[in-house]
Amino acid sequence: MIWVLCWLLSLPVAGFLMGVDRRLTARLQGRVGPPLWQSIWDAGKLLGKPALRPAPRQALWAAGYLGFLGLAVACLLGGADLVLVVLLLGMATASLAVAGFIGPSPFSQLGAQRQLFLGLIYEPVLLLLALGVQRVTGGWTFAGASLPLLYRLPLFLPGLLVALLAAWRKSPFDLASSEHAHQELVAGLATEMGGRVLGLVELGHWWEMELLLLLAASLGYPSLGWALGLALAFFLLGILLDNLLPRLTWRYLWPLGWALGLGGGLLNLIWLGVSR
Amino acid sequence: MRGWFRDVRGLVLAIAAPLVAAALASLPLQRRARVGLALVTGAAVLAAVLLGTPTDLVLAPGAVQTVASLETVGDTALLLYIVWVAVDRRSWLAGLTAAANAALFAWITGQGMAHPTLVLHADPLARFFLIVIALVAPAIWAWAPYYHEHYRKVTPALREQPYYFWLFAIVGVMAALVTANDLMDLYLLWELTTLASFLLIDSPRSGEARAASVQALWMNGVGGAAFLAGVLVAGSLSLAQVGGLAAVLLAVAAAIKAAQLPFSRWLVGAMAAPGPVSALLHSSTMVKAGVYLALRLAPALHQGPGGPALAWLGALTFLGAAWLASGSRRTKEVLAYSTISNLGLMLAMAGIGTTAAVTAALALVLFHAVGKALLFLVAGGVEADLGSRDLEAAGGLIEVRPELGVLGIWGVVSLYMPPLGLLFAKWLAIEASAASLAVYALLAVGSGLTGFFWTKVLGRFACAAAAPEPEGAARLPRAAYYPLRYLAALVAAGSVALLPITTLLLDPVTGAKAPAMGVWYAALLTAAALGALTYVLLARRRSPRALPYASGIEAEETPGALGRFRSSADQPAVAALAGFYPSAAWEAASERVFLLAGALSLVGMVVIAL
Repeated sequence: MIWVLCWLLSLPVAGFLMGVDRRLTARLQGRVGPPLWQSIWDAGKLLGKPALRPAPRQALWAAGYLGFLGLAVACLLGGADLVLVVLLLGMATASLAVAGFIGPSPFSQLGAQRQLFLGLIYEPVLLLLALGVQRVTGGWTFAGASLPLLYRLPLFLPGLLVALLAAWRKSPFDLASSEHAHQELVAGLATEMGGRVLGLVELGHWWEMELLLLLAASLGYPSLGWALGLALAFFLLGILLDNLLPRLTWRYLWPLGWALGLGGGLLNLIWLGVSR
Repeated sequence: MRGWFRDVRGLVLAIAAPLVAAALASLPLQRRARVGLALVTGAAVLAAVLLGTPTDLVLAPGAVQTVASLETVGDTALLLYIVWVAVDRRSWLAGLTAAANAALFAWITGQGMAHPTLVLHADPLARFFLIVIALVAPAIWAWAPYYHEHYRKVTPALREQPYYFWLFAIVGVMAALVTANDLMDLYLLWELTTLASFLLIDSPRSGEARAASVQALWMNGVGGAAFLAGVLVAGSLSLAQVGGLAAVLLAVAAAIKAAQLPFSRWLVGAMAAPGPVSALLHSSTMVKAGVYLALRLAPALHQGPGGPALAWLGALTFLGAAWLASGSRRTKEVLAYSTISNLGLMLAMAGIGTTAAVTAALALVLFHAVGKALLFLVAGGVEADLGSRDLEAAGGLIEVRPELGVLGIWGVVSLYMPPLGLLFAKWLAIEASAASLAVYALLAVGSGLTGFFWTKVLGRFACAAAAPEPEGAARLPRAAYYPLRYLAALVAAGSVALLPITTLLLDPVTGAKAPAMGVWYAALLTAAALGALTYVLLARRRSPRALPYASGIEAEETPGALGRFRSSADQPAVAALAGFYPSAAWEAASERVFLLAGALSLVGMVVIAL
């Protein structure tokens, strides 16, 4: 049951990665940045605080966001069906959007609506990825791969990167909540969240980022070198792009995301079909 | 007692009880009597289909001949009536389709084909549909009298007696439809659902309703003609023996009854009808007649090109209707498009026809029927209480009408979120479509769109800021909530009992064990229950309510709601929230694209079969 251990460690590891992200981003911007464990301390502090509630019942959906993501990560680590993992991820982001829609602030509403666009951009792409894996391994899990999946599914990489940027709220896909403080959105769908509720959403966010990194790493399966390399490359690329690229509106990002993700994925699947 | 239900009398009771109730319901009754009638009839039908195992009805050749003559008389009368309606409404489309139906009917009758002695065939598929109908219909019957207290005030032209007659009768018709084996009997029942649909959509007698009812009539008339053409090609009157081109033509009829592209508009127009009609006919039971027929034909379709063609058409409809639902701002229209979308998924699964696909379709039928009925009752409740069919009027429903809000949220959640049953079905469906890249891709995008529009609806219901109640806001009596609670409990029970339901109801239909995903689902359910428990323990602690953040513009402090403020022109203004809706031109353009794609697919389906 090694995967249970991995799952128990997955959340602190994701928190640590967030700390690394903050540090690297700071260095890119010529700042020193916080200690590596800062994100974890922050979340701990948030979870201990009661929330002022402009919107009741947000906690339920925030818990749903965290819970569905925890399940999705557990399913991925435990070798469950990929379609299930993607559907759970979709449900998690939908729960987050509902939490945002509950908030009466216009910024919260706007952020929640944009979260829906983000989900629409990457959920179909990840479902296509599941089909790609099925076509290569004959099953809905990575387990049956004999060569690194990347060799047969290279065109899914742009789509996965888009999904990672969206899940991680990185520019240009940081539509729904503003990770950077210079945006028109205040705090987007998190505007009305505070204390414990915000803490739950923060933890969910870690898992969401990590789930996408895990999916990217899985394309290296069964080669450990490829898996680690892919995860590291995606992690660094995400931070780099976030600091290089300007934000775009959903009107641009939706076609862009689908062109890269669905376009690449479909081409890849057609190529697989022809080569077989 | 049990033995009594076990033989054919159970089946006859399931068909006859709603018909008797229909006759009683056409009397001018008080509300209490109507609710009582609904409960008694519902109990009778439920007992008939649940307590026993209804068996086949086989008649002697002489009796079959009598049934056949009755059926011919019925069909003739019905077609004459439709011709009269076409003339009365001056609709050449309705006239043309009625004439085509009449010509084909006369042709088939002239052939003198032998009627099968097996009249009613209660196999596991039929029994499954009987159970779904019996579970959902009573709740809607019991709710209708409450809804009509309101509806009568805004629609004085409504004639209630024929309306109640059809609301009950249609369930008897459906019970007969899913068991009928003689194709001409099936045709009569099929046309009766068309007729009921026409009359019930027409019942408010408004301009919108009149146009929508004629549209429903002629579109289903095309379906009827396809049905008869299929019978003619089949050369036999036994449903069990249909195959080849005949199966494809019958599948076209099924697709039209299930409002697939390009014939989706009749079901969207049908939303002009009163709430109970939408709930019973146009979401949970009658449109499922199309799904039933497609599933019945699945083995035959599976052997030819008809299956893949139907899978493509259904998947296209799944995506197209979800797209259109994403842009609509009328609550009932969103529900209508989502119904069409789900029916598309069911037909796609029938077209694929593997064990997993058929299991997925059946689970979809069950959970969609219950969840969608609940949502239509909620939409009707909003309409009765707040006097609007606009989705935005339901914004902050949970604040204005807490119980209605919770039930509405539960209904939406039941249609797309785990651990409730429909997601299990969708999961099966997506994986069952893996053999075809095109179908899978359509389902993948459609699935994303489904999440998009349901979450939007959920967000409106759950929003903590509500518009002020309109003038003349009413309140449904407390008793009106019982049918809604019953349906909500049914969703929960069905989801918890997913594994036994699969074993007892779904596996007998496919004759095989459903894929072993049930085990995973059980794990999921446990985890979700644990999550809910954690939340309950966490959320005990209450904290004070604060003002919403609106850049500090509030001039008036109302906790939980956006306040008044002074605009840049120094005028008093009220802050308002609304969801995202594309322009009407965008909606119309996308509808045209999908209608065209659907038309090409449907024509392609028939051409390939030829």
